[in-house]
Amino acid sequence: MSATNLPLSGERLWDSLMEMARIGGTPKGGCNRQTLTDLDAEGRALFQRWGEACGLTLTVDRLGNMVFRREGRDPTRRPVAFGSHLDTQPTGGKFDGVLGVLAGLEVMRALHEAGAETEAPLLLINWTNEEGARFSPPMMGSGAAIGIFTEDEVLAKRDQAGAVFGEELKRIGWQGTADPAALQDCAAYLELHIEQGKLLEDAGLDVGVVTHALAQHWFEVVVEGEDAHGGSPMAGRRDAMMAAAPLIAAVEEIALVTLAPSGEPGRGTVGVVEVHPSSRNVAPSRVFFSVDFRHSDPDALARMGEALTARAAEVAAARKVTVTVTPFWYSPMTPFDPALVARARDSARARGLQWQEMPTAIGHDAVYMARKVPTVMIFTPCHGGLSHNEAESITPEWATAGLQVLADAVLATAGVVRR
Amino acid sequence: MNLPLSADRLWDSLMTMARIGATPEGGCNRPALSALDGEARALLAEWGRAIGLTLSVDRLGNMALRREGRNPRRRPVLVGSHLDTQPSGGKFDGPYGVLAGLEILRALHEAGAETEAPIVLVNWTSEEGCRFSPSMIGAAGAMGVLDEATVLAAPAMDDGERYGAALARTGWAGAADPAALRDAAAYFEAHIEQGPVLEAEGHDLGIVTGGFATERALVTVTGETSHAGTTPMPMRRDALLAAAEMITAGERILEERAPEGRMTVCRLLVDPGADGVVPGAARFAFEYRHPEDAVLRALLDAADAAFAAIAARRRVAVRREPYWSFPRVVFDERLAARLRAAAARHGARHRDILSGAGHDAYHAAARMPAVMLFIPCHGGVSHHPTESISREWAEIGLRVLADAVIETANAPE
Repeated sequence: MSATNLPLSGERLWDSLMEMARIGGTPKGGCNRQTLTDLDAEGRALFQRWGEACGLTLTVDRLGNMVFRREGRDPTRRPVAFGSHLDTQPTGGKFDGVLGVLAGLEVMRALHEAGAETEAPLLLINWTNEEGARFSPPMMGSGAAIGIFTEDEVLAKRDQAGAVFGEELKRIGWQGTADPAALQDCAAYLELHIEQGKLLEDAGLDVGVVTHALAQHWFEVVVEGEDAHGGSPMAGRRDAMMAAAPLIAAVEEIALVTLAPSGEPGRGTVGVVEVHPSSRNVAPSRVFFSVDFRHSDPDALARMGEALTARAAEVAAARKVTVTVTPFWYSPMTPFDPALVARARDSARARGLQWQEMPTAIGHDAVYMARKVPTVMIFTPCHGGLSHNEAESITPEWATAGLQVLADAVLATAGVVRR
Repeated sequence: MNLPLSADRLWDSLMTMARIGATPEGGCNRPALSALDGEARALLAEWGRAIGLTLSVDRLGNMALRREGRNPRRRPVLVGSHLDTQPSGGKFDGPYGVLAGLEILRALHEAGAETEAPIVLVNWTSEEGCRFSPSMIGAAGAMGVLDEATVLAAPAMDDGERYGAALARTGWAGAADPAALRDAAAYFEAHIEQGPVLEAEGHDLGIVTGGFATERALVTVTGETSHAGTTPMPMRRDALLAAAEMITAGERILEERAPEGRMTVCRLLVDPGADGVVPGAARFAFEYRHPEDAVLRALLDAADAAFAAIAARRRVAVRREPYWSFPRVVFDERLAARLRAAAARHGARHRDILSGAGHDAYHAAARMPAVMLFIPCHGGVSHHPTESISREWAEIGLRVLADAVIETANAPE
């Protein structure tokens, strides 16, 4: 048995994707299966039945992360893990996360069907609360497993309605007893995911081999002027809002003009704005906003931050306000494991797929896992780059190509027992 | 009449009043119809009682403290302002006008002097409009700009409590007919300028001949929420970027066409307002003011055109919905002339000025001859804890106001 003659079924994968999508299915064809809801529990139960049907042993940890184990010939070897998440955004699609979990399941099913054995044990993971839509921040299950968050911190989180993470986990019956940190002790972690961008589709490719996670640099900007009555003359004002408006606009401009050597621009977003005192008839004294800069090129990203600081100083001088730009979160460029990247690349090449190497611009469970475990991601295209959207869609061919590369890389890493 | 006006007593009263709702920054937080507002009202009532004023409170909570005239059949002369403050307010915006009026009545009382017409000191309810919209709602109700039921049903912006319920809760719902205040011979209001002009020019007083026309609107921009990590810039329909550009465009229109006007964006709300998410919607409060109705109209038309162009280029939708507007107000020239003459007599450096802010006097002006008197405030700072005036300004304003009020009360109607 080698990886290439494993009886992988793209059709069975597709059928499972469609069946899972019925749980929380929305009229517009998307999915609303938010974490720790009754629908999440239903999705988990279906996944459990499927896993047990192909002989896998389920462990659930204290944060609800589901781990299916398939024993290896050598049980003392550290396992090779793969998976993703079954939770969705409130207006999510059928594939974000689910593809990675069910493609992993298909690998297990095919091995079971073939009666094949691997040297190392295999772990198929469904992480709790990747989306962060109901309980913020995202990627809580994987973040806690590798020690970014403490278990207590995660269990105490509240959603907007005030429901507590730990209580919701118990209520839906998915709090286990295993230690989430046990997942740090893996030989490798592999995750197949939809791209959530349109690079692959535009380039006409079947698969992306993800080499690293992009650097992100987030800033908090505070503009401080002075309250003024709405009737006071313009000339004497130090209006924080009038100063903030051109600075918010500059975030877009900076992203567009800061180019990588390849000519690629960056991305700049202001997602949060708070105005003080936000009272009728008062020109604001203080405006807070957050700036999210991302770039494929770390040097360009650094220049974006510098440009923001420079622009802030100009606005401050011109408008007699103070502007403070404070970096508050920096996610460094996270490289994935070169040996795993090579295995994914070799598979794509061997299978005759059209592929390229690329970074991921957004967070995934794999980006956290990469801090403790050799990791790689594989991307499949999605139509129009649309994701976190009910219209999110992929073709069965793309799903199959991703499945094949995942399976090859998993088996090459775990080792197949020759009979 | 040589009235024993006491600038010190006025100042002491201002400082005593400022202790109610005093903030650590030195300002006042005494929102309308709060428990603190109730305390301030009780203090004013007590001060009025001490000099024999008759208090009546109307169904909208407006307080009227009456000093009888020699001829009780004559229509009274009103003088007043408001005791409520902004959350980040100062000590003088409103209280100066009320307590200067009180000082006139104290001095008349002390002198045992009589005026021909009665004088009524008014404390209007909820001038600031921070909790109940619109601003100047108590005066609007009394002067018939809004009907009484509408005022009583106005919901608080924070928790939806009705004006009427808040009034009852603080114990200041009276029985008098608010419309009774319309039947007056004149209305005087002294107020801090809330702008820097008088101080910068070295003037002691501004004779307010009128007010700016104002239109306030809520602008809603609707784009599309998308993922900040994966959505390339050209594919976005970012509502916040469009809103930011509109705000800047509005400012440019004013600068180019009518720099003497005003523009304020006091609020900006972003939806969903989350890190990592390109905003799909943004809403902001947008307001222009200008001394001429026609220019205001032209500014708004230019802004609408600019907003539409920005929206089209950014593939978002925009809607500007006015929710409050005020035509240009013209104050009574005879009353203004009395203030001017009094200012000259007292050697005050004065000029005529337009009010950029809305005031209770605007509503009064719809029903009776009305006028305002401005004293300077340091740096034009107002609606801020550091709002301040000099004792000299407080005094000269008091003296000029007193002359004009008493002259009006004694003049043949």
